[in-house]
Amino acid sequence: MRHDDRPRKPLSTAAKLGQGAALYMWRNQKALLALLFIAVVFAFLTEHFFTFYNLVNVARQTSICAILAAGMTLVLTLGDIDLSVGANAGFCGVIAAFLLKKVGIDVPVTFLLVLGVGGFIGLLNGFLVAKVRVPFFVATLATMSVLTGASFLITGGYPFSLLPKAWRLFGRGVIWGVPAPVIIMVLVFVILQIVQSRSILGRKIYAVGANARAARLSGINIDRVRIVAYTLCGVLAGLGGIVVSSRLDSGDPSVGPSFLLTMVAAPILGGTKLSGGEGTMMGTLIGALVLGVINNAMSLMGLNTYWQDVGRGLILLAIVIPQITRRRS
Amino acid sequence: MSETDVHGSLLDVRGITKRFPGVLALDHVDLQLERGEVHALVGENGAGKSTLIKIIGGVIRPDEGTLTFEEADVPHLNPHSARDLGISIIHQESELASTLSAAENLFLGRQPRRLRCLVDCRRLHREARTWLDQVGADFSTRTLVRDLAISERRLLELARAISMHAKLVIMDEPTTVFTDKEVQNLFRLVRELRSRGVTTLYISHRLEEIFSIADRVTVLRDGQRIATCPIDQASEEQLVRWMVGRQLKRDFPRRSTPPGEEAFSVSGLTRHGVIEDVSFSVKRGEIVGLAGLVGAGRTEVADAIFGASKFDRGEIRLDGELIRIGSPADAIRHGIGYITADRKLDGLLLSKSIKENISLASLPDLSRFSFIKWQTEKSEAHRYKDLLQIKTPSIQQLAMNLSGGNQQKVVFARWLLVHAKVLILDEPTVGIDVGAKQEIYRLINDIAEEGRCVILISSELPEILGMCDRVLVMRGGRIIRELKGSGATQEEILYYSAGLKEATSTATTRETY
Repeated sequence: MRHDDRPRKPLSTAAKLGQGAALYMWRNQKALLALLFIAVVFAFLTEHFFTFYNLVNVARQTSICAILAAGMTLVLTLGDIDLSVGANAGFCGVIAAFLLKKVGIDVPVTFLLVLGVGGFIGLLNGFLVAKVRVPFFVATLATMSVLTGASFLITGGYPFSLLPKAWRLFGRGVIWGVPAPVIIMVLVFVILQIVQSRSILGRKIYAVGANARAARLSGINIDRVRIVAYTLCGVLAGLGGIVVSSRLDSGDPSVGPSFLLTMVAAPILGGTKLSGGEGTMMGTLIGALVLGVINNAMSLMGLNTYWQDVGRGLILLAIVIPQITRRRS
Repeated sequence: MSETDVHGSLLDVRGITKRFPGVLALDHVDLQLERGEVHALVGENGAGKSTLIKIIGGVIRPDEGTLTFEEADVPHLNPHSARDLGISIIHQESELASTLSAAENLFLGRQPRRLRCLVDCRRLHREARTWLDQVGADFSTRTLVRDLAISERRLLELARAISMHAKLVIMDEPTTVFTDKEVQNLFRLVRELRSRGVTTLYISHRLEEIFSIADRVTVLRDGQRIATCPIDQASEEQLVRWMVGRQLKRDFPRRSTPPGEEAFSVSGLTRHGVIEDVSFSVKRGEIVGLAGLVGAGRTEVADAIFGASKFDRGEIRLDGELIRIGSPADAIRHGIGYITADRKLDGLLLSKSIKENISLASLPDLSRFSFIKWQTEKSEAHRYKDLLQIKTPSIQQLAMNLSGGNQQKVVFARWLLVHAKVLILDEPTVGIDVGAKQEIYRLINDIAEEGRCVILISSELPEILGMCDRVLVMRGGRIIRELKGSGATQEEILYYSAGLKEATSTATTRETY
């Protein structure tokens, strides 16, 4: 029988919290175990892994991908995939640099405008998929191409660099010893975890992903839910673009495509099902950290970037294949 | 039925045991099938019928026990070797390739060839035609399977089984979506198979069917074989007693309060080519039945009222006021609930918990500032779990782990929680075992007693007659007759649904009833 079917005894609040935490760990055990295992292995393999500096470094390197993966998790939970998230982030970074340097808009306004641009692109994806009924794969593949091309057109192929100093806060700032991108990442995940597990919207996204027909017949406007999820995903892509442009101190059109694999792999590693209806934000965060640690370790071991790509691809397969064979048996 | 055409043993199953994690699905089960007999297999949901079929079909391996087919041991059966032996299963859920034509499906993997690698299309369709004619299917061999009705798909599967010269045909709940005419056709085919020496293992919830078609019957309960006997030595009460392990009378609970004033009405509802000028009304606390053959437009009326499909013309009134319904959300806002015929496809979130399934249609009522009030949601789910006696250790249990009857109760709970004033039920007891059916009937009566309007669509005539105050018979998208629930007979409804004259209704009785 299932592990949560035991008879219920009255529990103190603390015990309840403990039980909840234990249950949560158990459900996400695979990703967490992987994280711990890999960390221990690399602690032995490489000299610098378990230094504070390096761990903070890993968290910072992970943060941008993790923010994008959070948005992707919303769309994956619907049963769709948004292939354009990375390109959207790259495009938003370029737009940010363009607004700051060429138009001369100040930092806070740029920040909001860029979130709006990302959100609008998400809205467009959602509209194409939900209303025009373009298959999500085709719709987001097309926007991905459009955005990648547009990024290069705007910059003329070269990054806009040397942005205003204040803009550096989002990617390079450090607050109480913690890098700003890490703080942004944690905030994003805390907020989205609450939205996902407690809000009507979160519940509706799960319902549409689990069974869209049943959701519709229970009065849920599935088109609207889909559009909202894509829009949120786009806003997060905008946020990712802001952080990446700030981190690099430039609007670089070439960063977008490099995010795609990690963005899909992190949620899957964290328990999100490609068929929709299942997945948690915390799972995605852990998944992103696992991938971040692996990336970091590969760098520390001195593998060149091409080998790292090969490694990431193999790791994705290694994650997915056991899940599939388990389902089959 | 006689046993004159029995010619010795075909399949001998001995001591089959199968364990699943935490469940003993089959416990030393024996089953002997004779050549050319129609053997019924009955039992409540979870009794082990499906597991037994899967073992015979080679889909799963037993933990213990032996299978002997035509006097030879078959220890390592798999779906391919089972088919090669001549065992064909017609599954509850169709296993056809929906984008291929009927003929291609019939000969899938063994198409007639030309020059070794090209399909001989002319021969394919010619031979497919003869097989389809044999089973009384009149659709074209070029029709894509996805365009076939479910009952037609069953016929296609049957044709495939016959064309492969099956010696044993296993039918798992073949008639759940059949009209009575189709049932009669199926029975004719089964008898024809029997006369050719083909054995049929027939699984059904409908005991009436078993009495009219089977030679022998085996009853399973909780993974054990309770009894096997010739059908003429068993009575319906006896079978039910074996199945549930207790005396159970199949009758319909009575309601004490008469219906009140008119509360819900539909007039002139039309969707071109599907339903024509449908008008009726339902009083408070009344159960109105929609009877008719599959395809008569009953579900389509429900879909239109609920906003699940658009309609061209017509008015819907609730408490005298005209209401506009453009989507299911509108219908729910006005207090209309709809339990669909296919609860797995249209009703449940199978991978989600009971709690989430119950609260799905009432999320705004359970929330503050767009956030769900967890405690309220939990206590409401508990309340309805207890009220409807949903058998589960926890409301966190996933819907997919429940039996059919309990799944249906979860769907009922969803609509009780939204306080629906009008509840449309489409085949609410399909695929539900006898004991749970009684509970569903009682539940429907309670709902009516509370003064709600109930519209009941059902293909089971005893159910319609036993439950409804009035019965509307549909045919060709129209309501062609209104009958009193208490005075009407099954024959009457049948003749109106089939478009026959009333005068003959006393002359003949249908075999199934």
